[in-house]
Amino acid sequence: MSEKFSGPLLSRKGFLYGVAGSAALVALGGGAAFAGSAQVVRPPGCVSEESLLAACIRCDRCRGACPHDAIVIASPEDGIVSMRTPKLDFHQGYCDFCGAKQDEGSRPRCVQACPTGALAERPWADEVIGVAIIDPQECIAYTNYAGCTVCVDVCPYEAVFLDGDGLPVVDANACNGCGYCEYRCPSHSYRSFSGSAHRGIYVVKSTAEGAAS
Amino acid sequence: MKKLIVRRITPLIGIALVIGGLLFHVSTGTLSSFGWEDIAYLCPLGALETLLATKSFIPRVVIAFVVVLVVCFALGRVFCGWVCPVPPIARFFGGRRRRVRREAEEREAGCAHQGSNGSHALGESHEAEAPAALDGIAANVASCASGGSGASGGPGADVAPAADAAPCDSAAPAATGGCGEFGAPGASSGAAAKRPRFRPDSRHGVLAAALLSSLVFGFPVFCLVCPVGLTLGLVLALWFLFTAAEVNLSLLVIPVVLVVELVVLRHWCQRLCPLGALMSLLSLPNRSVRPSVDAKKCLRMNGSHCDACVGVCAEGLDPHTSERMNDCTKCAQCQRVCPGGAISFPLLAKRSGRNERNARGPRGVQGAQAEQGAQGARSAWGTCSSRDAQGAQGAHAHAEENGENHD
Repeated sequence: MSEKFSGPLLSRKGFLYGVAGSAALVALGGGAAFAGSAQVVRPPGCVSEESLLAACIRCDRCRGACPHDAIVIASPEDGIVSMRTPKLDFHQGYCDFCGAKQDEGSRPRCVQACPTGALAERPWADEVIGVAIIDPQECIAYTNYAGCTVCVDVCPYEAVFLDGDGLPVVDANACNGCGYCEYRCPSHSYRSFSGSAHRGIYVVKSTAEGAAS
Repeated sequence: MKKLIVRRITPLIGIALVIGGLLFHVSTGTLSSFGWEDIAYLCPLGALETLLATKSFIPRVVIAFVVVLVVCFALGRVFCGWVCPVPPIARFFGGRRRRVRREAEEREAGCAHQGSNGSHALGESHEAEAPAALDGIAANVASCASGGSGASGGPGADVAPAADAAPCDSAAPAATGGCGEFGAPGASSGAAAKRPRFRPDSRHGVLAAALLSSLVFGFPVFCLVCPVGLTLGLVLALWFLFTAAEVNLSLLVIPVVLVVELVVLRHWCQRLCPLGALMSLLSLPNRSVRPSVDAKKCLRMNGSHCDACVGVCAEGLDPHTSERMNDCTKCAQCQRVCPGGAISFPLLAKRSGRNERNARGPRGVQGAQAEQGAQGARSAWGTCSSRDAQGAQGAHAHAEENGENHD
């Protein structure tokens, strides 16, 4: 039987294609793993960065599921290995855990949507996705417009309080990184001329807390 | 015709899923995984990579994989032919380039009327691996010679069919030097020899590398560069560019990777795609919806040298045999171009193996006779359905556009 096409098959060129393709893939894996990932805040249900990266197939379902548009797609800037994985951006929305912290029966919609368990079932009452920190350079209360108490007023978990000087301070033990303070923080509305990427109060990954502040 | 229109539309399903999800704010997902709430389809390669990378048993992933297994059993590689958005993109770029080159060749050869032929269509790949393929059966001599690729004599002129050197047959399994590298059985003993149903090729190497690298590096490596995922990722990136003025490196990185994969490295689907390789493996037990040739209508079985179905098949399959038929994407191009209307895709073949025997008859046993009759038969056939015939004759992937344009 003749077989005219057969492109890939059994030819020297096909063999080279196979070897080169395989080598490129292994090199990509090694390179991406070596380059590592920026510290981005992950959606709830992320047990660890490693476990999320191991299971995430970048299918985009969690982003679509988020009722508050808090989940965005990580770009190459967040690290090649993180590209197209989900991260949280509290400029557009915030995380209320879809009521899972209050109601035992429910769970976050992103976790429900995740087909691979990259976002997994957790004991939601204790779930922490990050921690808020205050940037004195950006925070309105810390700079010339003292008296802003938006984050203190809006925090659903009473994790931001005013210190003796009337300045907001985050209680890292009470904060779970839901991002509502960052979502509501008016620093960019009032003083975005500084060109800063983040607001007066913003959420970072818990493990990166020390390094980021 | 209806099938062609449907097949033109179905690859848009993935893009429609993404845009629909964005518009209506639901998590229908992408082709990597789509579904509703807990019930979801999952890319089988992603599923395997995830299981290997996490080194754990994830029931939901395994269930999704079993679902794909069942679909492949019933419908074969239907995803590649009907749903995947990559082949149309690759065809769009690859087809245009091949068309340009073919036209140049035709001008050079001064025979614009001849259509193109197999070795030209695949270009350097075939010419490089070519010399003197000794297939047990003389096939395609007529079409090779008339396509101007330099077969020595006229069709059937002076060489015994059984030892004919046919450049078009360069990739025939029994003849290619490279087959030993993969340890595939040579099956050179002639027409009646049992052919292996499956032969590993470069795609399977990439598949193995994808799984191995996921295991070693602990994340699904291939998902990073999967053109299916990247295509839909690009749709998303463009959506956010226009709706939220979101500018990031994805807008640069994704197109570059896609261009490298689909335009620079040609034949992505046939040579490299590990997802296609996995689907073809999962489709090994598939016996339904396979092309079936009606021996009464088939021109080849009646002594002509028609290879329209073989020429048009993007996977290089021959509907007359069951060889590598797990690679069939059910695209039904062979059915469309068949000048005799001999090919159908029955849900279940009536009797398996029958096609194969018949197909080998005229070529193997009555080969010489067929050779001699070939020229006349071919030209007669050529005049009656010349448009389709020349569009399809021996041209491979690009014959598809060629033929479709004629509609």
